[in-house]
Amino acid sequence: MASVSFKNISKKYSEDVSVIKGVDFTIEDGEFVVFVGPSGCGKSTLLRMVAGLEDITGGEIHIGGELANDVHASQRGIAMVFQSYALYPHMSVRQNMGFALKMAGRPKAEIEERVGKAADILQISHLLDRKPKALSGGQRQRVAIGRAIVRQPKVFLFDEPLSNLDASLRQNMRVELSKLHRELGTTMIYVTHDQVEAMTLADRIVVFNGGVVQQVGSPLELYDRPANLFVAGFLGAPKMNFLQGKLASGSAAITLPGDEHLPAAADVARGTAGRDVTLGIRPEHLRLAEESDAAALQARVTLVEHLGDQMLAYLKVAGIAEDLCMKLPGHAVKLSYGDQVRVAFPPQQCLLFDHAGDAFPRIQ
Amino acid sequence: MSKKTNARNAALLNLLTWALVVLTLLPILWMVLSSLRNYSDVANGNQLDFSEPLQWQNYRDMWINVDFFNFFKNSLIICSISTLFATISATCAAYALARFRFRGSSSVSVGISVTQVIPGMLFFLPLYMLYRNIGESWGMPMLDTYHGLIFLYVALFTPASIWIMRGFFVSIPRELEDAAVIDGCSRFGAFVRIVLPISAPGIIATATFIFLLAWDELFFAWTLTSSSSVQTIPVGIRLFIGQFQQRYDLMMAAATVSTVPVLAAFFACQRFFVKGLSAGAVKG
Amino acid sequence: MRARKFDVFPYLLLLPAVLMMLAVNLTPIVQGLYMSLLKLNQYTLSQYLDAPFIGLENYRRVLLESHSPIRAGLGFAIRNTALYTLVVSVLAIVIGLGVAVLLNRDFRGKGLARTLLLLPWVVPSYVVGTLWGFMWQRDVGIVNTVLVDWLHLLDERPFWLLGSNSFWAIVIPTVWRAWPVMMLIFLAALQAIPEDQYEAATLDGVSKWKQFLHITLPTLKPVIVIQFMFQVIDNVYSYNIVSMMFGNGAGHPGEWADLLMPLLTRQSFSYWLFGQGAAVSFVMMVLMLLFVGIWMASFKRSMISEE
Repeated sequence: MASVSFKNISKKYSEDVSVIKGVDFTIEDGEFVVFVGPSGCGKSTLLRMVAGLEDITGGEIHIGGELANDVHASQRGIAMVFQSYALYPHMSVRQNMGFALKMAGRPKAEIEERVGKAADILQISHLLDRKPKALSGGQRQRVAIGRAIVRQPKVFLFDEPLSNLDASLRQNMRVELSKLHRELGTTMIYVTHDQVEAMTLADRIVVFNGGVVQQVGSPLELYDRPANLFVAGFLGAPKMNFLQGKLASGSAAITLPGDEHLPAAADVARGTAGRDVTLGIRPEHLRLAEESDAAALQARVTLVEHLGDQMLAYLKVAGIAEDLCMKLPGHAVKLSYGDQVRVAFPPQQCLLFDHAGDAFPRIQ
Repeated sequence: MSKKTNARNAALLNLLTWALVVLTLLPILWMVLSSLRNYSDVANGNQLDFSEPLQWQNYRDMWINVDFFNFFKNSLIICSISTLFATISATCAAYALARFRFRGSSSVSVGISVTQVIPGMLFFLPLYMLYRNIGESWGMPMLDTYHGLIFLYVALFTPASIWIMRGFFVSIPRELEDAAVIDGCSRFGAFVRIVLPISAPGIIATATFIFLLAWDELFFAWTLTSSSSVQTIPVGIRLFIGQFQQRYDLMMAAATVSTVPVLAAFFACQRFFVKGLSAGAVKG
Repeated sequence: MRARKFDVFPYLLLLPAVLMMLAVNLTPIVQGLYMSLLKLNQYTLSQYLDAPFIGLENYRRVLLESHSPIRAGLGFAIRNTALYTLVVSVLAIVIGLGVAVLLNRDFRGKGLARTLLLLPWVVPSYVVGTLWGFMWQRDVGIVNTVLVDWLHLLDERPFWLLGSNSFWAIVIPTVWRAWPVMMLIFLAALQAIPEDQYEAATLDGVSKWKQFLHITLPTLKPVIVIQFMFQVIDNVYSYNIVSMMFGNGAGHPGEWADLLMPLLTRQSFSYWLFGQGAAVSFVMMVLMLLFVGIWMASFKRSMISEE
């Protein structure tokens, strides 16, 4: 059993500096969970608390069902892959990978065997006698992962392991990490600020902001039903479009400053008419309006970006401060700067957020 | 700028550079040359008369006139042991200051800086009396002993070295120690197994630095010792300089021999040394 | 690893160094201060700290009475030390900076040149005193031979170790020994300046000299300011070179070459006026602490104002 549960975790550096507030959720055995959020949101700190590198000011952490608060880092059954790999520069790859076992006093034969197996899995057997400075970034990364695998931990911890790699390598490693998880089946906690990594790798995502958990759920859950503005804006690229306005009376719809009326498929029972609301709709859900579309706005194209498989059109709507972004298939329509278009807002795809940023529940 | 002007400028700069090197080294070369000349030549300023053979026996004469082997041995022992202990204590203290935040760390840092502004020599009499009192009251003689001088040297040279080592430690990423802790090391284990091997160049540089400082020390070697069984080279030279009188050739031989050990230490470690001083320097 | 409860480890690491500093640095200072308030001479020395307490009398005698034996030469020593420190520090920095600029380029043997140029610093300071004492000799010294016989820059052979020339006789070897380290430090600092700053300036048509003035110097200013302070601290307490250069290692350096530390120690041993010597030491300490404090404070202020 290698679940990890957080019970009311908080961390303070001093009376007024609180980095983590009231974190409470459980990671199941074998899950790949990603902690995601902007820099300084506390995700790395929480990871380090699981590792035993940071004190826990309040609350409890249980690893594998046992209370882990006061257990030494090396006794918790965890292994960590650092952002900068943290390979010992004066040791060979083999020695790096075997170091923890040597510290634990395991017999040499066992160390050899386990190191060899891990090296096979990661295809670095030919590098075993080299020193870290003779390795490329990607190779060092594998060694760092290999060092973690050798320890056969109950939980793997990854602290932004891919951020030091260049883009194409990052993509390859992402795929490899997914395969690794499938092969080993161990619980993995992965910290990143990159939402693409979060979406692709995670069984479940935990979104952090300002030391507080914003939402926990599967990638698609978070994508389709974000709990608040922050989660909605954080996942998905290009970012979700947001329009400010007031809640219409009597229906689930937003009244924009120019008196336009856009309905949404949301349950606004708890809301009050006339209060501030935000409408959110993802770029891929906006489309050029047909005659039959009632929920639509007049807009002028200010920029068109061609990415080959898709096209991004930036639209200026009168009375709306920020340009909207519309994503269309690559060769769908010919649009250029200055075109006047009508943009449809399909109510099924519109989300409503109240004045505090929390989402109104979606109606399917 | 044309390529030819560039090449000519470069050649000019090279010439200037090497001329500067020669100019800078001239006094040292002069010292060695004068030590190998007949004393009458030296007295007359005729060292450059290359028709005369090199007078290697000046060294033998100097060695015999002055009890040089004794002084040399004392200097070697005292400076080496002082270097060893000063390096150890400086390394430990520097690691504590570099890695830990704890009550009193800033006071210690300030204290270290202050000891640099107020050298031991300023209040030498209390020190002398302290040594004398320890010898008389506690029965452990400190004056005129190896350990007395060694303890003083270690105490004098540790503070400056702490700064140098601290610079090295700060430049080592903390994650390495974190990884070691996760791998099962105690903090001390992480320090010994991971941090120390990585900072070996810095440690060597610091040790060389301390050795140079110790070898250079004249004042306390002079005031705290009285018998030739403990006195170091600088004391020896100073004691016998009157005896040399006009024998500048012997004096230069003594000077050369005094310089050789530190020169050797420097050349052996100069790679680490240069890197070390430069690294610490940019941070001020 | 962050400390959990009370963490004893860093304290243990610091213990040896701190103990030594307390014993060898702090105790003498405190005792020295107390000494300066006592009547300590060859008669009362055996009483040491139990010698008669005379309060600020020592200070009065040293600072105000002009016929105290300690006073003799103190005026000269102060003047010499101040001038010596200033001249040596400035020259060491200027020469060190100049050579660093010269070496800040790629050329064959760069490492070797840098190492060789460091050698004067490696030579022990008492050897420097002895060696240059020989070189400055009027009749057999190489300096006069070069100046008079070879280069014909002078007509007569001057005395270097007597009179006002003796000031330069101690300044020049000190500078010779000091600038290499400055060069090393400045070289490292120079190499930290990104090349593209100079490239941008060249594109803008700025001359090399102006680049030095407006890019190099301002960037180097913090390093220069700190190194100057270190130089001052080093040179104020200069002892070894003076001690070995004059009168076969035991003689009087004369009016122009006597520095504070040689004077102090010499007077203490000759006149046994330990109380007054301690007073002088204490005044020196206060002045140096003031200097460092004011220097660092104004430096920090200038750094902040530049942001």
